[in-house]
Amino acid sequence: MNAPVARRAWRGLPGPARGAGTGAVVVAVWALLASVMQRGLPLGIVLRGVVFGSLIALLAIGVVLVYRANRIVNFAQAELGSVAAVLAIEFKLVWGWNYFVAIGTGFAMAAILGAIIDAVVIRRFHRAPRLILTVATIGLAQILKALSIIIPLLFGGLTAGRFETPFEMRFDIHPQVFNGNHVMVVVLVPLIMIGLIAFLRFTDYGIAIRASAENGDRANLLGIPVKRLSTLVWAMAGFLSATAVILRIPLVGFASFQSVSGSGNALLLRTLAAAVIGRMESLPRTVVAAIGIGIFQEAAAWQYSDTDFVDALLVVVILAGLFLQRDHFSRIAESGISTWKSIREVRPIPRELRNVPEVRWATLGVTVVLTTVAVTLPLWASPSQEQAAALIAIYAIVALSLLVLTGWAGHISLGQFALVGFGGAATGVLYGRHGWDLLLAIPAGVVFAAAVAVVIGLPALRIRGLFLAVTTLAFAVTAETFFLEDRYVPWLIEQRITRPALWGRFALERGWQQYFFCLVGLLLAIAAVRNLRNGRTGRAIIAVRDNELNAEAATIDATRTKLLAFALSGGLAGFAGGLYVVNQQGLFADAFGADTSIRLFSMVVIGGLGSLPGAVLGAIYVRGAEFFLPAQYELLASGMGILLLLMFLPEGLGGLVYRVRDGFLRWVARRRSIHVPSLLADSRVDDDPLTASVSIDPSESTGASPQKEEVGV
Amino acid sequence: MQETRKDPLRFGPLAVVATIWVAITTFFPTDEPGGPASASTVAAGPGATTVVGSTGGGTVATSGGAAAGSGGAGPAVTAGGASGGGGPASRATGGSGTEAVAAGASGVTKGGLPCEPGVRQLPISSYAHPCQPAWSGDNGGATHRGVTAESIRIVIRTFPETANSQAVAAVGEQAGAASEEDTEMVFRTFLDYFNEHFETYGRTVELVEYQSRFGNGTTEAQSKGREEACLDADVVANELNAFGVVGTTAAAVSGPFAECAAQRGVVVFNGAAYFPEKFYDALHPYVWATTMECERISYQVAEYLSKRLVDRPAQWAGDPLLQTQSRKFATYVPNNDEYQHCVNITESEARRQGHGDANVSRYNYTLDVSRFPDEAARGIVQFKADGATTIVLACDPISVIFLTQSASSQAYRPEWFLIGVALQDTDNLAQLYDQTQVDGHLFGMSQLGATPKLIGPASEPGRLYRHITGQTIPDGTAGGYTGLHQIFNLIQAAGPHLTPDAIAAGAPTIPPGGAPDYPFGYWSFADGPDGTPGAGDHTAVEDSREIYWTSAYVSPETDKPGTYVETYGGRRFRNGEWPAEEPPVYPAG
Repeated sequence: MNAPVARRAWRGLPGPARGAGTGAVVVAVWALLASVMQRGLPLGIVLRGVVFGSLIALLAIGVVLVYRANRIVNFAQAELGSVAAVLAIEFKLVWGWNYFVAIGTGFAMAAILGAIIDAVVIRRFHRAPRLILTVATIGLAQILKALSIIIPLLFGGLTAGRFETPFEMRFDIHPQVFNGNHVMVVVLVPLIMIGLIAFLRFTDYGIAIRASAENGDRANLLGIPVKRLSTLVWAMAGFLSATAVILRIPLVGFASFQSVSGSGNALLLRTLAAAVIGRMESLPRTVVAAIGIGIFQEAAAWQYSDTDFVDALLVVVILAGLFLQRDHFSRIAESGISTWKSIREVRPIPRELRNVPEVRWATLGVTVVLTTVAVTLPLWASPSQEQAAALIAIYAIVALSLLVLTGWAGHISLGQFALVGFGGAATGVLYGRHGWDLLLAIPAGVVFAAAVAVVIGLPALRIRGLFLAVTTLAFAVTAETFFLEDRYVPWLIEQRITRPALWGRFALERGWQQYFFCLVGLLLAIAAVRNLRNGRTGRAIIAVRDNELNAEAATIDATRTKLLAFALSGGLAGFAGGLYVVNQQGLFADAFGADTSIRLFSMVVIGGLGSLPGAVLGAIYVRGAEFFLPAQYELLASGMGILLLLMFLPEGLGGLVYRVRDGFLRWVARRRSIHVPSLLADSRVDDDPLTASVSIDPSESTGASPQKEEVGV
Repeated sequence: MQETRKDPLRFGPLAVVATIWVAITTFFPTDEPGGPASASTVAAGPGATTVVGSTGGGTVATSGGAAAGSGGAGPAVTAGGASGGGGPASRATGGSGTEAVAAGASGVTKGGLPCEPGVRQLPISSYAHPCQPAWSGDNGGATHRGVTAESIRIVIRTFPETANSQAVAAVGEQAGAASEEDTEMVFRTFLDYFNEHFETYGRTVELVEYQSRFGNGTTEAQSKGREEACLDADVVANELNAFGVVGTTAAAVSGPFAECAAQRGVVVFNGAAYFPEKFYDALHPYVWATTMECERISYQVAEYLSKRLVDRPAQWAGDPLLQTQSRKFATYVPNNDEYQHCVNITESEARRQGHGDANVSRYNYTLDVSRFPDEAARGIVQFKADGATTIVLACDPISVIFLTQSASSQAYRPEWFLIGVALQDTDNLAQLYDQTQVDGHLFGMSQLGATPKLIGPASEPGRLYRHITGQTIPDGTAGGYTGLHQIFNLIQAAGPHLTPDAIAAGAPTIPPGGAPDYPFGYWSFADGPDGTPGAGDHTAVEDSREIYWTSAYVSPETDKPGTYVETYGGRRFRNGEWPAEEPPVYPAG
């Protein structure tokens, strides 16, 4: 019996029979695991997994709702309700409020805060690319997290205490003691689920939310108040987030030293994985996935007594879950992916203007200024700033690698910096331990990182967009805790190396020496990426991204091209890793965590994914603000700074730069009376009857070399 | 098109470039580790003269005395290169090029005090270097970066204030900690006095405050943030031209920062608290500390458990059922290299002594503050299931808060055993532990001294402050007393030709400090972590006391109920000295 037939037969069974069948499979799997695992798999651990999985489910549902309303991944979901929740906890612990009054107040505040965030922040990004809004939520998460840590300190000093439900009960299911706190979770979460599903199915607002999720523009045309619904969704997301925190704290305890929201990137990974396995659409499926992940993590922790192993194994489970879902991508998910891709690529200077003296002089002027700044930096920068500039150059190379993968190939990577780690590890161990020449060790690191990238890219042959993003996030989390950790892969990690003298002549010890070494590396990377973009490979990568079938019809091997994009991107990241390990004089896994990769992703989006200078600019902005500006201006690179920047420059810094450039080019075109179609495409053509008949070459808008060109009039 | 793709000649340019590249690296190889980037170059830094191997030409107004240090320096073991090169003992005699230091000779000290054998440079101090007559002569001038004929520059690294840190500081002041101004005033008083009285061979120690431009305290406290820590180390080494660095908090001289500073040839006088000796060893001769490294703690924990707890009922467990059972231990420890290494030592020692079976469980948690609550909850469930009667807290104090809360939630009431790391043995943090769990059930080792002996008018710093100023020391501060001792002791022991190697050569020659009163512990760099005499290490404190937690008394630190009480009147024990008897904690009545 083949799979489709079996599936049809399964669906044909009556409900009770399917329930019994599912139950039998679950019990069989449990029995199998219990007999295979060294410590067994007691029922108490499974139920504990159900409880913690239910809390993941609350967050994942929030992610799904926001995704459906705004087509973004809300990185702030876990933190969204933390401010209100921590206030509720302080009301009870410090002010002695009644439990129900405290949590009721917390729920209300969370919902209101969610609505306010939508009104103040989210709506401003209504017309911005979704990636921009997604990065804005990263900034939002940082702000909310900081607030949730500071509030208790301002409120009542350092506090620790038991914030518990008032239900007195206790029962043992080996090895776990369950009490009212656990019961509260298993009762409340299903009730919330049922309420939510009923709301979405049977109320006008719920139906309207679903309608606008299916097609926001059509819903808007039909008179549905899409913006108001978005506010409602964010209020619900805030409520769900606060509920997750308020239910979780009684289970794990409270101390005002850290965010109450949960487990950082590890929780983010679990939440996103559940939402993605639920196809960003199905709430019941999301809940089941979350509970499955919860059970798995508790079982693995029980077995290995070390979270590093849990994270490593979770990657396998998430990948398996995503692969099983591959054939079930919904229209929503697919449309989401296409929305995510819609980054406008920057067009080159139009041919008509390239040789105009003003443009040539301006180009030369900018080049001279940039070159002067770059070359003279050691004259005016301090030694630490030279080192910082070297680091910025390395980050810029990684940003370029992300440009290739995300900007060109359309694959979102939240684990790019982990590839830097692999390249650096190979370089470090070959140079530091095996005595290879550094200039041979670096290319070897490039090859190794490219190979790792191809392995990560294999799922990309089957999954895309958000789905691949979760895979790469899992890769980043485990790279830090497992795959680049000296304890687990001692053959790969050389923690301490000395900086060499190139060719026995050029020492790399001082700040300025490091700076020029990395600057040369960046220039090589820029040259490589430019050549790649202008060559057949770059065009093929973009063609496959834009339309795989069309590309294949043009004899482009889509599979090979996708993997090539991963390999090239990984190679660039590996090259950066080689420079990084020399700069840092060794390699430690903690530098390659998901935080850094997510930050890198933010940098590139802030700069502009559509262009090479934009990607570099993003790295310079974020790290440069941290390194070069006085302390009072470091806020620019913080969550608040990123959020404000994106609120006022939704197209990112790259967009600003190109707007200025295009303004200048228009001025030149007007001054010289040159009609340039690609520039006029942005403005109202009916203003000038001369341009009404302009034929616009679409290849210009994607930056490809035009085969033919028609100039207006 | 297909034919073009299969044409192997298309790889021709690539092959040519690769061949040229290989040829270049073959004929003009990049220097391997240990080449020009070795420690001597790193240590020299800009603006300093490296005179490794030479000796100063001074004389000591002495009428006898033992020589310390040695001449004839070889190249230093590089901080960044392949580590190794002999054990601590061999390093102790290796290469400072320092002239003999006449410690313990008769004469008059720099501060004008009479010096005789057995007298310390500061007679009021139990920790000061043995006195030596005032020195005069040529100190070699700029012997290392940050050193001139007149001064030694040492940077104090701090973190900028944040809303979070201000709130924590305010809470600290409410709890009796001194204000920043008072602490600074006491510190400057001690600094001036130490400069006047310690033998610094014609130089004055300049302490320059540097507020971190790049780093983040919270991140570094979790042993992360290496990039930023290294940039700060660049500032310290290459912009402030410092010889050494100290921090106002443990995070300010975190493991990552200490490593970066060492790579740049800067001496860290109190770095990487609680890291293992192997870490300091790899960065020799640059990183030193007062706090006990965790290898020695591990040996002491193994000894304590074996002699005093194993094969005895867990009588201080909260659960009556556990009280009757023979002790079984569960260890909660971060899963990073350093701490895993140390806990492995404890377990292997226990096995060696035939008590391996007593260790029934271990949970390795991720050193990420956002994961602490979940990790603690899982650890407790596991410990309970494994039948542990006694939980060994090889962890940070925040985790202890969550562990105790989770234990209450699980109706699990074991014994809690302190090993003394990361301030888990301070009253203000222990008051945040779940008191139903720890009151009457928390005891173990502490490397700190009792608060009244560390700060306050009766303490050693309090007495010195009164001696200098005639006034009572402000409440809640010791003014960085131990840190200053560490700096000045090491500098005096290094001799006139001051280099990191000279510090390394001088450190093991400093006679033990602290005896017989041990207010801050027994200090020595002479013995190995396992107590092997002469094996050497890089951290000063060598002993621990025994304490237990009770809510029956008010804390002198915080004026709130709950404090640690010490046994044996605060007596401290080095490796091999722990008595083989039940701990006298929680005496009846």
